Amino acid sequence: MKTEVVVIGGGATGAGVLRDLALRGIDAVLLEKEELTSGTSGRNHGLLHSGARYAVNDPDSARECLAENKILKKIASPCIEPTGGFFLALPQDPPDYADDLLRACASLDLPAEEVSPAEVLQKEPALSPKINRAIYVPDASIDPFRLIRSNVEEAERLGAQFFPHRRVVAIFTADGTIHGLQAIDAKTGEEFRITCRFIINAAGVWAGRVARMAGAPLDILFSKGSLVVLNRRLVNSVINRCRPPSNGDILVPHGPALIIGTTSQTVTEIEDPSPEEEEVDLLLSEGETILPEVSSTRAIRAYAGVRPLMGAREAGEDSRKISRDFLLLDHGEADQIKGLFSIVGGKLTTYRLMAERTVDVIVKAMGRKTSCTTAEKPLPFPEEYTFHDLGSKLRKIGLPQSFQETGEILCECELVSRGEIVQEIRNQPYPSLKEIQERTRAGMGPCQGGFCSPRLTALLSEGGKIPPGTSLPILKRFLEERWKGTRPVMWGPQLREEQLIQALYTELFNLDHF
Amino acid sequence: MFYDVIVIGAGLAGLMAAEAAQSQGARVLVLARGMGSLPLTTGCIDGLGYFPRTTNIPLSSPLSALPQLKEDHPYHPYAIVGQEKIMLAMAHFQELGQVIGLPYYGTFASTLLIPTPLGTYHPTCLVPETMNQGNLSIPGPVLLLGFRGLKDFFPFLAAENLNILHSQGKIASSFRAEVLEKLDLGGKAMNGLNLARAFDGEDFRNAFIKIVRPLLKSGDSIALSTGYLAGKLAAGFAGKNKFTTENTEITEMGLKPKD
Repeated sequence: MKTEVVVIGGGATGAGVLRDLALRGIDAVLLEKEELTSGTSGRNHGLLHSGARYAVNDPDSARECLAENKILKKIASPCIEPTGGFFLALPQDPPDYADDLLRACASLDLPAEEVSPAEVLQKEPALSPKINRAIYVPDASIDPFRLIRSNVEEAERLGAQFFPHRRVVAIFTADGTIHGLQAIDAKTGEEFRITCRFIINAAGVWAGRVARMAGAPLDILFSKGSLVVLNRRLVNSVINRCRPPSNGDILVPHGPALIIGTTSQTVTEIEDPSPEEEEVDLLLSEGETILPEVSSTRAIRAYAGVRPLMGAREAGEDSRKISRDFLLLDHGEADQIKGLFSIVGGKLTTYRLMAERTVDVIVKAMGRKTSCTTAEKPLPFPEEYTFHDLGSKLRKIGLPQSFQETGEILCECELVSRGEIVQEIRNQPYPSLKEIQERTRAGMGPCQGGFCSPRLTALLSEGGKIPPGTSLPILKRFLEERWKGTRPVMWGPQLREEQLIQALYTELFNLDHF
Repeated sequence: MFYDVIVIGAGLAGLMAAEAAQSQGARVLVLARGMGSLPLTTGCIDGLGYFPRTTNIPLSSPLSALPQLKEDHPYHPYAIVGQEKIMLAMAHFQELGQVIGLPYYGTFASTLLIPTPLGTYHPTCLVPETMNQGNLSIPGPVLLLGFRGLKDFFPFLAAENLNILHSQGKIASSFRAEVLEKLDLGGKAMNGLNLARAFDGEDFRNAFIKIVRPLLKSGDSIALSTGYLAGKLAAGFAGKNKFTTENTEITEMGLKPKD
C-alpha cells in the first residue's frame, strides 16, 4: 500500500489529524492498534474545558482551551451539552483562590462571573449549602466517542483510510528519511507494509514506543487518572472545586449520569489502567463534600486513563504541575529522521488545534500552501442525534404500542430499542460490541451491560457481523472488561444486582465452563 | 396465632423445609419478602455438574464424585447428609411434583445436559418432564423456536453454538432455528409469563400449531423459547403445557433470565 501520510493512533489527536489532512486534500491512512478511543481518549471525564481550570497556573493551556471551546461548540454542537460550569469554594478551600481565579480569567478574557451562592443553590439544589463563593464559567460536557468517530468518518468520506486493529511493528528509514512502515493485522496476524513520506506519531501513551521504532528518543511521563460514574445526574452543570487542581475536584453531568474525577498518580505501567479502591473512596468522599447526595447515589462503574504528559521531569512527583500544553516534535530537526513527527500531550478540548498545528508543519514540509479549515467546517453528525437524555428518549419512544415500530427495549437502563441497535449493526461494516454500545448507549446504565450484552451479541451474530463460533469468546471478553469497571464500586444495590448477573452467566448460561 | 414452625424465606430451601415440617403434622407459617429469585432460576434441580470445579467435562453422574467430595470438602452439604438422604430428598421432590401436576424427569445418579439460550449446556439432574425433550443426549434434529419480542432467547445464536458442540461430538442433538413473527398475546407484552398463560389457552395453541406446522420436517422435535417454565412456576400454572401435533411433541427448554 502507498500513501503520503500515515497517522498512528486512533485517539482524538490522530482522528483530528486525519480529518485535517483529508480536508486539505492530502492522501492519508490512520492506523490504530485496537479500536477508535481505546486509549486515553475513551477514558476521560468528557469535559469541554473553558480554560478556567488552567487559568491560574497554566495560562497558555487556558488560552488554547478557551479558543477551542468556542470553536468546538460551533463545529461539533451535536455532541456537546452546553451545561455551563461553576467553580465553587467551600469554607475549607484556600480563601484567596477565587480572587486569583477571577483575576487570571480577566487577564485571559475568559468569561468568568462571580454569582451568589444562593443563586447557585437555586439552580443546583443538590449542592452543599456550605458553598461560600461561586464563579460561573463556560464549561460543557462533550461525548468523546461521537466526536472522534465523526472526525474519522468525515475523513473517510474525503478519501482517507482508517484501519483498526493494525499495530505498527517497524518504521523504515533510508538516508535519514522516512519511507514506510510495517504493521500487523491483529485479527489475522498478517503483516503488511505501507510506503509513505510522512509518519505522524499520535500514539498517545504509546508514542514513545513508536518513536523508538524509528530510533528517535521520546520520553513521556505517565499520569494515571481514575474516575467514578454515578447513575444519577445530580447536577446539570459542571462542578469544579475552587482550589488549586487536586483529586476529586471535578463533576461532569453526562446524559443521565454523573462522572466524578479525577486522581493523578505518576505510573510506569500503561496497559490496562484500572482504578484502585483508595482512589474510588477518595473520589466519592471528595464528591460528597461538595455534593452530599453522592454518598447515597449508586456508583455504577469506575475506570482509569493514563495521560501522556510531556517531559518536564523537573516537576518531580507532582505531575499536576506539568503543563497540559502539547508538544509537536519534528524528529527531522531533533533526531535527523526526516518525515517523522510526534504530537504528544494536550487534552481532548485542544485536539483540533493540535491537529491543525501538526498538519501545518506537514504541509510546509511538502512545500504546499493549503490552509486549515477545520475550525470553520462543522463536523458531520447523524441528523437524529441529540445529546442523550432519558427524557427526550422517553418522549420519542412514547407508549408501548410504538414498540411495534422500534422493537422491544433491549437495554432497559438506557431505553435502547432493538430497532436502534439493529440499525447501527447494519450501518457498520465490522462493528464491535463496544462500538454498538458507544453508539447507542446500550449497556451504559446501572447494570453495565449485564443484561443486554448477550442480546447485542446475538444480534451481531444474526447480522453476520461476527464470524460463526466467536460469540462466546466475544461475550466473555466483554464480561471480563465489564468486571474491571464494576468491581471497584461493588457494594449496596450494585452488589445485589451483580449477584443476579453472576448467577445468570455462571449458573444459567454455565459460561465459565465454555 | 400459634405455629409450630415459622420458615423465613420462600426460596427452594424454605419451601422444602416448610413442606417437610407440615407433612409431619406441624402447623407451619412461611414468611417471605417478595418473590425472591426462585422464578428466575432454571427450574431444574442440579446435582453436581463438575468435579473438581475447574474441569470442563461434566460428570456423567454426581454420585461418582461423592466420595472424593466428602474427602475434599467435609462440610459440603452433600458430605454432611450423605448419598442415601440425597436420593431420598430427590425422590420426595419428584413425588411432590407428581402431586401438583408438574412431574420431574431424571435422577441424582445421572447428569442431563440441557441447552441454554446462548447455545451452551447446563448440567443438571431433575428437569420438568416437558423439558426433557431438550435433553442433549437425545439424537435427532431439533427446531428451536423463538418469538419476536422475547428478548432473552437467541434461537439462531443458540443453534449455531449447539451445532458446534454437536460437530465436536459433545452432544447428540442437532439444531435449526426460526423466529415466529406475529403471535397475538391479546395485546399483552411478550414475556415468559404472558407466553405461558397464552399457551394454556386452546385457541392460542391451535393458532400456534397452524403457524408452526409448515416449518416442521419429519422427525423434528420442537424446542420453544425460554421463560416458559419460569412463567409457569410464577403463575402457579401446572401441567397443561405439553401437547402433541401429528408427528411432533412440543416441549420447552432453557429459561429466561429476567422479566
